Amino acid sequence: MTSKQPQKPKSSPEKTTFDPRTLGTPVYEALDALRSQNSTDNARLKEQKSQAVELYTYLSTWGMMRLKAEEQALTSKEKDGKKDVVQKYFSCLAQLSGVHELNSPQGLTKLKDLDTEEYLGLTGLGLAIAQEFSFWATAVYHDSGDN
Amino acid sequence: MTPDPTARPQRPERPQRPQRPQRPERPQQRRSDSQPSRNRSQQMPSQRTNPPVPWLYDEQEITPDPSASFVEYLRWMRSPDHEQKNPTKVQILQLAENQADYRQRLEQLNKRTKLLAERGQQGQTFQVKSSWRIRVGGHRGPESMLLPAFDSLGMPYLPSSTLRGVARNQAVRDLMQQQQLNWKQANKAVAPWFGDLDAPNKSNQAGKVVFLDAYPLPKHMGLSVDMANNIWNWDNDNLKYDPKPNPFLSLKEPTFLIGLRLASTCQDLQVLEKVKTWLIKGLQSGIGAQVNSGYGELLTAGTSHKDDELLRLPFALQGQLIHGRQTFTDWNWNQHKNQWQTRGKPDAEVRPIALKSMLRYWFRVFAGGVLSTTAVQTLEGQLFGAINPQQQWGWVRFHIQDGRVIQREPRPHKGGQNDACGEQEGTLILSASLNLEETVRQPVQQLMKNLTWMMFHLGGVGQGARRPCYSRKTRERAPWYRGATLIPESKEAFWELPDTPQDFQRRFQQRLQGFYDALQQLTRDSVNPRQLRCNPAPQRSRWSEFADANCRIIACSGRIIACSGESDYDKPYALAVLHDQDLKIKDRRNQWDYDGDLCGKVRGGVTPSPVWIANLANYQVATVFGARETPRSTYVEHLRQKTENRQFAQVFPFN
Repeated sequence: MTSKQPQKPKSSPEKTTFDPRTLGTPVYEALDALRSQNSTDNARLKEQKSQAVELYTYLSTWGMMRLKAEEQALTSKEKDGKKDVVQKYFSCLAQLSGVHELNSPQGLTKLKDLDTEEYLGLTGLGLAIAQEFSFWATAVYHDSGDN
Repeated sequence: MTPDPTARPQRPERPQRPQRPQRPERPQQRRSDSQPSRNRSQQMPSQRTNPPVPWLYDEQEITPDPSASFVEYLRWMRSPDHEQKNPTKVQILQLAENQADYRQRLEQLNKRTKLLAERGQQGQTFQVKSSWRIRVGGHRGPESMLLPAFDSLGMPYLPSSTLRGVARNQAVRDLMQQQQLNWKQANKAVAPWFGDLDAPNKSNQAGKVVFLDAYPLPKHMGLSVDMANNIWNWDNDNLKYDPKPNPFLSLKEPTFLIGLRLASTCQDLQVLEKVKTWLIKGLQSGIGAQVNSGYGELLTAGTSHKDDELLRLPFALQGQLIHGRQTFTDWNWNQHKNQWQTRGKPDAEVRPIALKSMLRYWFRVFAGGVLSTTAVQTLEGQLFGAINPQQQWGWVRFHIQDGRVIQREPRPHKGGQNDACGEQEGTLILSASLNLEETVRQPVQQLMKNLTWMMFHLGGVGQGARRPCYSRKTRERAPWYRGATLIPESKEAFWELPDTPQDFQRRFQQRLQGFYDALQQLTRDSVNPRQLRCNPAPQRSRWSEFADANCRIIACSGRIIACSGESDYDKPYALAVLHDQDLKIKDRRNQWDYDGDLCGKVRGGVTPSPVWIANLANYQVATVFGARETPRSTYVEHLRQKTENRQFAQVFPFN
């Protein structure tokens, strides 16, 4: 399966329209950039792909705060591929939600301080973005093999 | 099992010697890598903070409902940059284990299984019990933690798809054997029971038996903290000692209720019976991860471990025991270091994986003396299994039957001074895994049998593996026993204990030659024990743990002559020589202390001792790595000089 790069929606995230590409575009671009940066490191690409596919399950089981905490826990060299994807995930979430501290080291504190409504809303958006990661992983890493 | 007192070392008697407190400097073979970073308490000297909290919110204690699943605990676990990240992880896992009360939910789930399976007499339920631990995982938890598979409400279970896979695989294997089919053919041949979309007969396109999720019985759920610790790793051509205890959750001795029923398209109860037979056989072979290391065996009532055995050996272990996880105790404020600390309490458990790891260690030691490291790594992966460079199943399975703690270790305070010496026992079973080919079965069996003999006569297993068990009851402080003695309790002639150092020399060389012969058959490399490899030349603080040209193994007995008020504290002779005043060095505070390059050390990074000593009742066996360099060469020389000729034998290298 090959992929065709989606067109960027013209509206900015602050004025979200009903363009279905609003969630897909930043995710595709993030994964595509990761893929290009590490094109010769097969093991890392495999890690990236598996993490992108697993994001939704992880998030629905363990929650947004655990995922953010996980980003800090991925310290070993062999986990670099996983960390790449988790960082990109929070960048996309920050960009689309407007909660800009999410992809900074203070992201966990920010999540802790959100009120319940905001946290649940963010989790809903986060799940939708995680689904996009899973979908685009198949296309972007179509030749990276499965773990 | 009653040990034969003539075939095993006596427990150390209470020595009749003057007391003198002595601080052992035995390195710990397991450590926590939790060195707290500079924390708030260090930045604010003399200000005592609240004890660390294992929850995500530092400032509040969370009190979960008893029915809350371990999943909930992990969702609220502290963040990974916590100052005390390792002890708090152990703390929260223990909380999840101790507070887990899933009885009500599991009762309901088991009731559901029974109702679904037995409705209309088209199915049945039966129980299977895990003989030790089981690790059937789903996805990993926070910080890549291994967890038991759990359902949407966090209850541990065996997914129906896993059970179906086990039964189907067993069916394929049986049909291959019975009808002389290859895997591909047998995979099609199971269609009448399990279905196959491409089956020519339409009625065989869908499976005929419905598998239900299997939940543990309420009183035998078995959620328990477990521990993985890969102590040795290959680092290019050398072995690197780098213990990293990794706590996780597995199920210990759970009993599951399995439910099967016929699908609506089938009324033939014989089909159900056949599939049930395959499932029971498959579960008996092991299910989930680490089945070659004793995990995952599930037995129905009245059945026992059944395997294609290569070796069966009843054994006992005395002294420092095999430990699983470290139990979290309490936080204590250390005024001197100005920080909170916790000391883990080792939890004694007879773990097959401990004996497997020890056999693996001695395999590397002896194979590394005659083969290239590439050849050693290749064969090691084939025998014991490997993850890197590629995942492979080992040829040999390791299992312990009837493993139990006979006597806990003495309490580590004054009140435990007269407690009995710790003891564990069990029966070690080595068997052929499913991928051991018949063509290599004989050399593999020969290699493992001789290797096991050597392991039992060169050292112990667990934390005190490198020293023989000896009493310290006359000291003022715990520990009251040090070291570990591993004792074979077989009546077979093969395991008969040689009487003298010279007898031992002959027997050991016979066993090692048997090991080398099997090695040569398996690798097709030339193995010449008189042309040992010269791995990098040892230096004072560097040595390789290989039985190569730099290694010496000595059997000896004697009595050390106490000098200038020194005492051997009734230590076995070879150990008394090792701990002799002549071999001590001055430490930074100008005090006499054991030499870290001889006895191992814990300060400034753990270094295990390059000397192993085993006590075989009438004599000891000392294995010395890097023996051509001081201080090891000095120790060998001392043994030689202080021991009478007839009580001394160089066992390795062959002369």
